[in-house]
Amino acid sequence: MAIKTWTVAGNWATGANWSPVGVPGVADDVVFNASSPACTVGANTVAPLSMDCTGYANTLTINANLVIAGNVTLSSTMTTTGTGNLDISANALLTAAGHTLGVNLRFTTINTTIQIADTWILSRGLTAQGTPLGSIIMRSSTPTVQRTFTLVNNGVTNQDIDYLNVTDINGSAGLTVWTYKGTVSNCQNWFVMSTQPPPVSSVSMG
Amino acid sequence: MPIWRGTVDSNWGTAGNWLADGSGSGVPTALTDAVFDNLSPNCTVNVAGVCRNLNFNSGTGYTNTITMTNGITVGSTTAATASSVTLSSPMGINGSGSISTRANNTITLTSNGRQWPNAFGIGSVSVSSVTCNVTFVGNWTINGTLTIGAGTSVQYTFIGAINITCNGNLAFNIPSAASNAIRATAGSITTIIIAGNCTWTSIAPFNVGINININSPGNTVNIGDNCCYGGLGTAAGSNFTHTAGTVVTSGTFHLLYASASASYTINLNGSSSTSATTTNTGGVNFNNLSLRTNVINNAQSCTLSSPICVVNDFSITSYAGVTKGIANLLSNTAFLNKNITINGYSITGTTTFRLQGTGSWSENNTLTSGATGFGLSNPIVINTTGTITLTSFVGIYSGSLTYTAGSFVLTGFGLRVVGSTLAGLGSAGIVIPTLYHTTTTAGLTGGARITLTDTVALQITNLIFEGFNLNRAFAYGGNIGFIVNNFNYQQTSLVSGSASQFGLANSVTYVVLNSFIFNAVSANSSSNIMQTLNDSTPDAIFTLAFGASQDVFGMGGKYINSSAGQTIWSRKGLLTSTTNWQNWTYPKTRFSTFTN
Repeated sequence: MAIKTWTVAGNWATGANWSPVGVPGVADDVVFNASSPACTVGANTVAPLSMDCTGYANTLTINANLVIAGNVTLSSTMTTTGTGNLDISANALLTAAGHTLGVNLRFTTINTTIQIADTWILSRGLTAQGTPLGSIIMRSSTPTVQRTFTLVNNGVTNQDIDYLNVTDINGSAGLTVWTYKGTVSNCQNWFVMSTQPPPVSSVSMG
Repeated sequence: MPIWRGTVDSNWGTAGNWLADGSGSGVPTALTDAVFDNLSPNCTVNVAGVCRNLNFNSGTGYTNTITMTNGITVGSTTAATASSVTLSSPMGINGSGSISTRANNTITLTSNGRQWPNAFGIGSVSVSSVTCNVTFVGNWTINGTLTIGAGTSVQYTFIGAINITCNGNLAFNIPSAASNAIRATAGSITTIIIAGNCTWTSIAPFNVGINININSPGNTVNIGDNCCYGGLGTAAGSNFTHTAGTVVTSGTFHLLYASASASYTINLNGSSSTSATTTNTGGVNFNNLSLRTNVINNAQSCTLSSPICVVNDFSITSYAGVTKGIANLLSNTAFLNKNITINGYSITGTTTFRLQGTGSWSENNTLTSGATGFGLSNPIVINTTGTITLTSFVGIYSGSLTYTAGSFVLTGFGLRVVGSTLAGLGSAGIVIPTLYHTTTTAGLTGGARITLTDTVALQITNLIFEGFNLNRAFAYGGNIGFIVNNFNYQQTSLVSGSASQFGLANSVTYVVLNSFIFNAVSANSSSNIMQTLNDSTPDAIFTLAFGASQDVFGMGGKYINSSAGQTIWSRKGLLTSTTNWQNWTYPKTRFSTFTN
């Protein structure tokens, strides 16, 4: 187990770009600090235990699946962009720290709990891959205290949310969010899609 | 070896009557032989006789008479020491004393054509031996009780293609154990002919591989509890046959099944009558019949050359410690007039089980999801004027269930079916409370198909799919569909490959009335498709009734027409050439909502 700090600009998968040298493994923690240069994730990663971007002021380009099996802390001075996903594959505490996430945020593992520590703004989308075999929980890290969680209404933000149980989340600043076969408790602008459509179903766009 | 000379008197127990030679003198013991030759006078067994070998055929053979006032026990108390009994053709035999042989490793029995009028025991006195090889020279006829076994665990092997005609009772005195047997010898199978007005008894079910033939014209043979046939020690050609005579059965008869043993045949001319009793003048009607197995694979088979009849209880049972064993019964018909209890299963059975009385049908099996090794592969026909009542769930495994007549009560239970045919239930108005449609092992492509044959759809209250593993080829064939109240298809593991598709017969109508759960665990998979069996038109008709609930995730449709009912909404299922199926999607704009 080691702390792997991003030190040389380039591709995540290049071991020499990390200190100590070596691509982060599943037992490592990843750090992007104020000195870290830009980084590109060009291929799916293994799942380090956490990613801490406190103070990071560069660009993290995610063009594949950046998988983190634990806590993620972003920073207001960094930029995220790309066509890939920031995958959360285990129980995690997510801290945006003022950052607007520019890639899709995806919860990939059933029976995990994702805690939201502060205000989150997502400009590309949210995916939750619960299944009939198990749901995913997303909730405020402080019970009963709602976290603002906004899916930006920009015409491109996507949502693809199955079997997600949501608690203490306020989505009123963005898109209405629909979870297929999940639950919603103490939330604003989050709804559960009925599994039973009306006999004559139509959609009224607001 | 002491030779009988009778120079003092005629008593076996007088030492001076025995001529000493190099191996012994005086009255024979378990270490010395008793020899009679053409010079030996009459002899009376005035005491319990003992000897190592009993030979009446020394010289040119004993011509005088032995009076069996007492019995003679033949054989060394040392298991490894061979023993023998040799009769002479002209000898006289009076009295009622028996000959009993110890269960030594090796016994040789030579009749020289002389019948033995009294009781005779083969390996019937215990000695510390685990095997007992009995070689017969010439046919034997025993007019008293023939006892085989010493009540201890010994494996007997009979050698010699001879007949033992048993005019008295036949008593098997061998305890129940997986290895206890009267084995046949391949190419030289011994036959016991039950020929008297007699009784066949057994202290326990064990393995019998030699031939048994009931050939007792004009007489009655009583077969008692625990009599048995088959299992370990059969050889090619081993058979249990009825040739002549009335047979009365009581208790439970056992057909044994063992691993890697030769198949055997029974030819018992059982009655086909629904009013059959345990007395059959032309064959054998079993009172109770147990297919008793101790193997879970590589099981032998029993082939019927003629029907069998079971008046009361028919069962598949297993030795203690064997959870469920295999018992395959092949060919012909088993007329079952009362209860059926299954604690084991068949996998290649072809004998038709005709349920033609009033009784219960149960299976002692937990039948958990994905269970293997259950149910019957035999064709089952319910054709009765009585009532067949399920008292548990029962399995149909690559077999068939055909309803012809009678009451079939399934209240509270149902069927667990793998790859079988169900016929006649719909037109009879029979509703299956719960039908578990099951797959078992990977690679069963198409193997889990249920074929429905009828003029009216099969009615099922709860249709549940399970046994999911690597390959789940659930499908329905036949000329008719089903009407199901609650349809529950919930995958439990990820799958891939076309074999995982869910098939329906072209142009056949299937209806779900109340609840439709059709859930994969992976989205957008081309494997998770409800489609026609030939993957082409004409469409199968799958109707979800108006008002029914639905819950469809990851399952799609192809060549399915659901226009007769409500729209089927699939979340992330792939839809191809479906009618009245829709994908669940939702708006991306703010403040949207669903409205009627």
